[in-house]
Parts: sequence; C-alpha cells; structure tokens
Amino acid sequence: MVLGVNHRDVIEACQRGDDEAFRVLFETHKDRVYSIALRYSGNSTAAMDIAQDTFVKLLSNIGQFRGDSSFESWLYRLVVNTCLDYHRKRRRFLPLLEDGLEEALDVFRAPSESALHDLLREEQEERVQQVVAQLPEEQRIVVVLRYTDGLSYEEIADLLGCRRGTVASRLNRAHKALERRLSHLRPRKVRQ
Amino acid sequence: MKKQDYESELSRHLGPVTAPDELWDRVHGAHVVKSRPSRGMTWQWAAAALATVALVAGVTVWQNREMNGEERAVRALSRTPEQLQFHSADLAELRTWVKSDTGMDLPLPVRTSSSVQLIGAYVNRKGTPTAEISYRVGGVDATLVVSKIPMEGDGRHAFIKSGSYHGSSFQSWTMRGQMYTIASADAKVGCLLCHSTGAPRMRVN
Repeated sequence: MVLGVNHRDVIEACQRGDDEAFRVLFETHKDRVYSIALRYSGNSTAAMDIAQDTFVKLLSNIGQFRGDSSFESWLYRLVVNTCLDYHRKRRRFLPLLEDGLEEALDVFRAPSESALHDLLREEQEERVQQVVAQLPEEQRIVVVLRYTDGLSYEEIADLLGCRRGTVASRLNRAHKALERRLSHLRPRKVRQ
Repeated sequence: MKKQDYESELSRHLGPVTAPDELWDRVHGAHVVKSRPSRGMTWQWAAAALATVALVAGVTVWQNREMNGEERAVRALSRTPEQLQFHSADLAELRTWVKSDTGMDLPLPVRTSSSVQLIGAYVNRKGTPTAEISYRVGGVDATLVVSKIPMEGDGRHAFIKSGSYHGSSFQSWTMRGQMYTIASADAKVGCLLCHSTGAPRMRVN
C-alpha cells in the first residue's frame, strides 16, 4: 500500500487521467472494496465482478469528485451502489438457498474439540457469509458496513442517506434474523 | 448467545480480506476496453451482429423450408395415432378423405394383407400438399408420404432413391405426377401396404 503519497495529489492526478495515480488508488482501496463486495454478495465470483465494476466506475466518475466529502465516503457510496445494482440485476436469477442453509448449519452441530477444528472454523466463516448473503438487501448492506468495515451508525446513515434510527432498526432486525439462523453456530460440548 | 458474543462473532467472520491479485488485471482490462474502443473492436461487433443476423435468417429459412420426402416420412413415423387427422382401418375411406382434402389420388390397392393394419392419415396443406398414411405391418410402424410434383415422362413408376435417414429405412419414387416415400424401421415391411396381395388398384371417380 502506498501510504506515503499525498492522497489529494493522487486523486487530482487520477482526475487528469494519470494511469499510475489510478493504480495507487486501486492498491490503496482494493482490499476494502473487495471485502465489502465479498461479504455483501457471499461469493468470490460476484465479489470480483462488483469490485471490478466499482473501480471502473471510480475511473469514469472521478472527475465528478469535488472533495466536498472524504474520498473514502465517496468510494463507499460507489461500492454500496454497485453492490445494490448487482443485487438488483441478479435477483431474478439467484436460487433460494434455504435447503443449503439448513445443511450448512448442520456443520456447526459437530463437536469442535477435534482435529477438524481449523477446518470447521473456515467453514463457519463461509456459512456465516452465506447466511448474511441471504438477508434482505437493506439489512445486508448495513451488516456488511458495520462488521466488515466497522463503520459507526452515523457513518452508515450518512452513506445510505437515511437516519441513524433507520440504521439501528435495520441492524436490530438483521441481528434477530442472524441469531435465529446461526443459533447452532456454537459447537456443543461433548460429554466425556 | 448474547448480543456481544454474536457481534464479535460477526466481526470475526465478516472481517476484511485481501483482494485477489487478478483483480487489477480485470479492472485494467475493463478500463482499457471501455476507454479505448478501437476500430478493430467496432468491426468485431459489426461482424458479430452480421453473423447473428445471418444465423437467425438461416434458422428461419431452415424451419420454413420444404422438407424432402425422407424427412417428411421419418418425421411422420414419430406421429402418434392421436396426432393423426383422420382415423380409419379402411383403405377406401382413407383414399377418399385424402382425395377430398388435397386433390391427390392415392393408387392404393382395394384391400391389403391381413398383416397390414391401417391407422389413419394426416395431410399438410401448407406449400406443396402432402398426405401421410400411417400403418403397421406385423407390429412395425410404417408411413407412406405422398406429395404433388410436376408431371414428367410417361407417369410410370420411377425409382428416386433409398437408404437410411435418422435410423429409419426409406424408399422414394415418382409416379403419375406424385412423389412417394415409404419409411419404416424395417426396409421390407413398408412395401407390403401395396405389394402383399397383388390386388388390382382402385380409382376414385
């Protein structure tokens, strides 16, 4: 990551069409953009598509960035909108994964005190991601921004253009849904 | 599970990850294609569009083309009795129905061998009128397809071709301004419709 470079200068260079500056912006923000895309979509193929679209849009629209808000906020809006667009485009074609979900949760019913512990942890992460990916769109994006990037309620509200109370309400509903669906996440203790 | 517990679980499981290295290649590739549409690309799109139009036109022509005798006969073999337009086990009835519907006279014998079981007929009035007679010989399905053609020669029996088409045997010949094709799974049984009794041909009016 190129942290020593003045961000403002890099953005201005990118606005002038400097390919090297774009590469710097890409390297600086790629992990964050990809993480949000991955946690939102629940699969790496979709995440690559979303991340690619986000950076292509960034390049096309960077001339419109005036610095009224931070570049990070502007980029967040870009990636969030790309996630939502992607979801809308794909909604008709995505199969419901309810059966797969139940099957996935069975994994957590196995005892963790075994040689497969690490493997199970990886699987848990994947399953949590799957469950998150099945949340309603408005709850999912809030969960991703909160837990993938650690944004505050205010920051999320600002990004999504809604009130803090709306964010809290969506998160609350998401928590309940996740709690219900991941109730088997904690491995049971095995009686010796 | 307490709220703090699953919030920390979520943070742990949904934490940031490292983007794959190939992301740059994809972004860079998409950017290059988007920002610099070359003349070559334009031509490629035009060629692809032309190819698509040609393909659609070809399929349309293919679907609407006049099928040849063996195609019609083999396709008619797959017709179920319910799909036939006229059902009769009587040759004279079939012949009269075809004559009234298409104007074609089928020079069929007055009666057939007991091994021949007539099922029915189907006519196609689009383009060149065509009649299909479905029958069974000893449990083997067979079809006789007759269509009008320009009158040539003295009208006598003239062999055209025989062979196999999509796994069924066929024989085609012309006679009195009509083309005939017989198709069946067994090359020998199709001919028994007319050639099992040696009975005289009948004529409709």
